Amino acid sequence: VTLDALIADLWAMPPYGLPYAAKTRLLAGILAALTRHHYSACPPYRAMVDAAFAGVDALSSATPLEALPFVPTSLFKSVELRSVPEAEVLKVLTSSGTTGQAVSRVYLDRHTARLQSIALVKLMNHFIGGRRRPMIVVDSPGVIKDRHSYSARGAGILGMLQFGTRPVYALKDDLSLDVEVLQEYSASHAGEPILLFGFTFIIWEKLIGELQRRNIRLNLRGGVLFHSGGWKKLKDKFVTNMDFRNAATDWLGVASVVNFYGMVEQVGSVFFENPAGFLQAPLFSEIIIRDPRTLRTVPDGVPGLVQVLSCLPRSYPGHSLLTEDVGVVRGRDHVASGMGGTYFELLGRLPTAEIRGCSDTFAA
Amino acid sequence: VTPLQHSLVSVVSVRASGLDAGLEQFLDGTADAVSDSRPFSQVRVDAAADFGQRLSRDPSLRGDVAATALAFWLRRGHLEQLSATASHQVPGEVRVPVGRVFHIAPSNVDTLFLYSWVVAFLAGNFNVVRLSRAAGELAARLLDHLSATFEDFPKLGAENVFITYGHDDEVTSACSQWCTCRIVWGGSDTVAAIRKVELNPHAVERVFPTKFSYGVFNASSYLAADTRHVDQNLFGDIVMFDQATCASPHLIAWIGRQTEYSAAVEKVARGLSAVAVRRGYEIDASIPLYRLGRAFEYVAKSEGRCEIRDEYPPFLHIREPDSAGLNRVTCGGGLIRHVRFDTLTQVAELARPEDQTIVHFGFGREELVRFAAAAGARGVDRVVRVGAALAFEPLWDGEDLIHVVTRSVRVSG
Repeated sequence: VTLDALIADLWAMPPYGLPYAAKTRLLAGILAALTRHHYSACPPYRAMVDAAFAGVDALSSATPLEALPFVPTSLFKSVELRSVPEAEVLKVLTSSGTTGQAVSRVYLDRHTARLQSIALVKLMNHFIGGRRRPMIVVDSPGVIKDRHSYSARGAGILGMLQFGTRPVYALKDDLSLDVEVLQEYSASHAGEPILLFGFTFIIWEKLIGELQRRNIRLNLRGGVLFHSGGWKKLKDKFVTNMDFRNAATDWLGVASVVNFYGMVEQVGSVFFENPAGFLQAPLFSEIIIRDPRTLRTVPDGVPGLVQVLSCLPRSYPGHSLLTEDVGVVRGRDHVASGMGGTYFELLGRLPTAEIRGCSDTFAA
Repeated sequence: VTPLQHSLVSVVSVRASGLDAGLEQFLDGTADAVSDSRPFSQVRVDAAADFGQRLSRDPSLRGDVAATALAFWLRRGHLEQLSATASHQVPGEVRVPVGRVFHIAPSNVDTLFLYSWVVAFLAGNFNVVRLSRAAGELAARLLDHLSATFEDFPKLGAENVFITYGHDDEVTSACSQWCTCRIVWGGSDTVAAIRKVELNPHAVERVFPTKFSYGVFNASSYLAADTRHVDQNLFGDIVMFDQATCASPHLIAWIGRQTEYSAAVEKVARGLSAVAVRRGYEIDASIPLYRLGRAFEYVAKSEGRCEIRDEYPPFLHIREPDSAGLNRVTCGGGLIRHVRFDTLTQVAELARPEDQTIVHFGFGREELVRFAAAAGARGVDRVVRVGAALAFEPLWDGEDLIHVVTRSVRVSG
């Protein structure tokens, strides 16, 4: 059975349609095959798997997910991880993360880009149905100007644009709010199920915050706000997910607010919030929580580092990544919403390792 | 005169003026002065020993390995021995202080500035010590004790200033013109930055650039020995200051056959892990993921097949393939690389100017002397028993610090 045939099985099912146990069996086969694929196609990946996981000979569809090789996401900053020839690279996604200067580089070919797109479509269909909607992007148009190399923000916006029609940008190039455009658009699409998308902190600061300052309430009833991008800055301001939801409903007038967790290293396989506010793993992804000290798995309910698994990455070995995010599994199969799969909560980020080197006297 | 922008951590002296003008006044006031108290005099030893005693009596420092090591180094007997050796009279020569020493201390070792300072202080110098702005709580605590000491030795205290400031060439320049000796710790980047600041033409300079340190172990001796004690010593060499000092070993070069090598790596990995358990050592949660990323990067960029061993926490080991050479990549936080050689001579031939401390186990005295001569000629500074990697000695990076902070004046009759 080829990888593509296995993936085709996934596409045949609704994104939250399988209970955890059945899904895990399906994923195990695909992820073991993906590991072999990258092992043979990407020499630096092979070196890592040989060094830390004794190769791939023992891998099979019976290998438990937690026994599959994984790679720290930081590797995309330090090593060129590519499983296709350079000529087949369609675009390169970049992200600086929070660690500073080094930039992640994620190489996409046509095939992987397509898989990502199919996955996202399936997920969005679950939330907003199959029709494209009028769309407000809460960002400036400048973010997606360069069409070959995208920032994480640009990649996120570009991915969402396919679900909108006649999109407008709520922010000007200096990230100030374009109130006129916003009011005009909401008036001309009054009552329509508008799709809004942006990054959590930008929405909070530049949209909701600005509306509050000017005391302008929008009436986007029927609208759905999707947002993503990390809570660190909002946590520092003591803003919770609930505060965010309430403020968004209050000032934008939207019918629902959906947070999601995703990363440039695994575009497409994102974790949307279920109605209870937990992040839900869809059919083609999974998460595993590991103890930050031992890197071994922990029982459900115990916080640790988030490892993300995805069936999509084909042109780069990003199908099993250990992130710096800290999270906790809250349960398997969300009964109330009928959504199958692991659901979890993100708690923050691992602090940067502070090993003070010998050569930093004057820099400090 | 433009007022100097700086902040004083602690002026270890009681001065009439406020702290802000303190440094400028200190520099002016000491520019052509000579201390009343002679080099290596009893009162200087007394003051340093008093400081050491305060450290060893402070219960809050008891658990701190670095502070404990400093207090031990400052014990009276040791200081007297150091002073006696240093003031040993050579016929036809008189040993005098260089006069004014400007120390630039590293940020990663909270106690190092005090070793550098104590040696210069005992030798009878005026001192300005620049601490990193990243200097931690420990440094502040140590300075509190030093201040307390100098309440009993006010005249000596007035000869020393401890300051901290950021990228301020004006302060660096003022101190560099004032001093007769500039000591720069803290790595190659710091050395390059400070060297751009002109030094008083009459001053000498001693710099400590970034260094690499490792171990040489005899595999068969290690396998044959009861290594509990060795492991304990090696553990200390590695974990002190998160393995981030110039003297911290990052790699063990094993001398032996392939089979011995494999067994020895296994044994030391298990042994180090056991020490950690006995001591209740717990690694900072931020380190393992970072370290794994660095290890993966290392193997991805290596030629030949490496093996990463993570089953002996809290350390991460990389077993390098045969004849992998001596790669000087460092990570810190308990990443230990292992590599095998047939003979000690092969290791000596790979020594380089950036090599500093080599800890050894399982070799005979003559073998070590031969090794030190061969490796030293290429750059190694210290070949010491395992456990002594971070033991501060005035003989550091190949030069006796006492010679750096003193001069010999020729007298003939």
